[in-house]
Amino acid sequence: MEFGPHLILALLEGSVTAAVLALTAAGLAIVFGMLRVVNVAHGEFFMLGAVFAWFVTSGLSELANVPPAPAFLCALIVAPIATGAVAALADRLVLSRIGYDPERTIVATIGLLYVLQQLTLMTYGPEARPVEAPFNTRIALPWFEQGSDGWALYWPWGFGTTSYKLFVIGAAAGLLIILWLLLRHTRLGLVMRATQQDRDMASAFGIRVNRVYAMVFGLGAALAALGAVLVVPIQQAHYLMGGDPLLMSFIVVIIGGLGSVAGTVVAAIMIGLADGVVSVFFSATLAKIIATIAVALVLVFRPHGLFGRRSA
Amino acid sequence: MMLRVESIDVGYGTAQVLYGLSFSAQPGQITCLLGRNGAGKTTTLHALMGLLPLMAGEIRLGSTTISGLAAPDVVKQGIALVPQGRRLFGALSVAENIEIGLMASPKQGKTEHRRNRSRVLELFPRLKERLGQQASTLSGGEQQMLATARALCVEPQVLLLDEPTEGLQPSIAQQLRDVSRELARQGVAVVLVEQHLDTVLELADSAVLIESGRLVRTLSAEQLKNNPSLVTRHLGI
Repeated sequence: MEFGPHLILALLEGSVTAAVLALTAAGLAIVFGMLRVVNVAHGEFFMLGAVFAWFVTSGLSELANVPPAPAFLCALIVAPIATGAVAALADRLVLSRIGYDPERTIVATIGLLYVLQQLTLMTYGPEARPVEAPFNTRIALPWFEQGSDGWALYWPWGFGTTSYKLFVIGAAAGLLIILWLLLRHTRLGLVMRATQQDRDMASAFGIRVNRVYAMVFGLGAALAALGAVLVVPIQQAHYLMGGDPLLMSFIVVIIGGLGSVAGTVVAAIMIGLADGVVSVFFSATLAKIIATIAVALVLVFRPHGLFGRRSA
Repeated sequence: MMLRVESIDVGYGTAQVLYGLSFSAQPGQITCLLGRNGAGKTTTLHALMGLLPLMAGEIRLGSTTISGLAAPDVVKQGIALVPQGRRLFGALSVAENIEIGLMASPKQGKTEHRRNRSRVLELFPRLKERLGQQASTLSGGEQQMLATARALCVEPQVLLLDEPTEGLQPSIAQQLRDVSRELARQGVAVVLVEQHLDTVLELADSAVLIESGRLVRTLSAEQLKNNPSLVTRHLGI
């Protein structure tokens, strides 16, 4: 295949990575931005989303013979809600009791990481299990070539994508727009932004800060779970799948600017596309190395991130 | 409704700041809390608002005991705070800051909110022209107006004002003094922390002198006017 189609393929793969990463990292950014909690268990909420998606789709398929598309739609609704509920419960039982103290929450979320991982191993097992995509039509893509009669369209062998991958990109974009609308144009978003700025004053104006915190922690986990449900038909659900999304989310959140959701999304697109291109042309390991070097450079030369605000 | 503070002890962790402080604030009157920096005036307001827990004592609004209530429950009882340094939600717009105040109002519903919003914007017409502007970009005077407007959205029975005229140009300070007087005339119990002697003498119906977290004495408006040197001494001027 020529370089042009090869590059387009790499960018398409990178777009899928970027879409899922943007959702997952947005969850981490919201939690850090509001609670100042470095949630080391965020990758496990991603994993829980995938595992819940497997339980929902396989359960509906085996017990009620539900076709893949409606079963997947159910998973897309149930898995983030269930994951968000687990996270909100963890917030009430653990984080709120240690007063969201930055150092202690790191240790607490490391503990949470292992609890969730081992509980999943005990109940779901060590196998990697697939979730059937709701649709997966192969879409061949055209390319141009200059012949003796000028430019002409042709269909290079192997140059294409699937309808599901395009759906993942579109769905993630749609969900991020919904998230933006929620934060900017709803009463709940207003309450969340006010609480983020001044916890005491929010409380003095009737806002139940602890409930907002539990909701935000749940929302952050639900976003990770949404990313996982979207990607699980491409990957597989496994109890150790949370490590990579956690590392990549931290990289993206630091590059984007700690707590900046918009910066996180832009950084996710940059890192995701770069990951796709480097993985296709070189290797996936090199892509991770480059991302890690990028985050180190950002930490040295621009510690508040590319889009974050310098702290006073 | 009368606010009654009875022998309260308040502190931050183990560091006690207030020792058995007692006073009352009558509806329709302005009660000034006077004292040097660090005397415990702001701590008193924060304790009244439920932002700091009491170590001992009791706070009552009418016949209801409000000590022990969390801040969101205190504001629902009709107590609102205009904090020192304004403490606006700086990244939110003027309209959004007002919306936060409206959410705390005991009267919910779209019509009530619209009426309430118009009422506070009539008091501070300059805010009406800046509804879409980010609060942190307002001038100091406009920020103080917004902090006051936000608290008035609660339709409070007791309004706690912490140095509202600090650092403001005289015309805006006068406007805020007029608003405080008008609120008291409407039956609100105003508790004012103030360092300017002129403001104290102009507004106070009674004054509570605090020194090192302890009540020194309570003065009527007449006693204040007859003993300005006493006030001066306790303000540390």
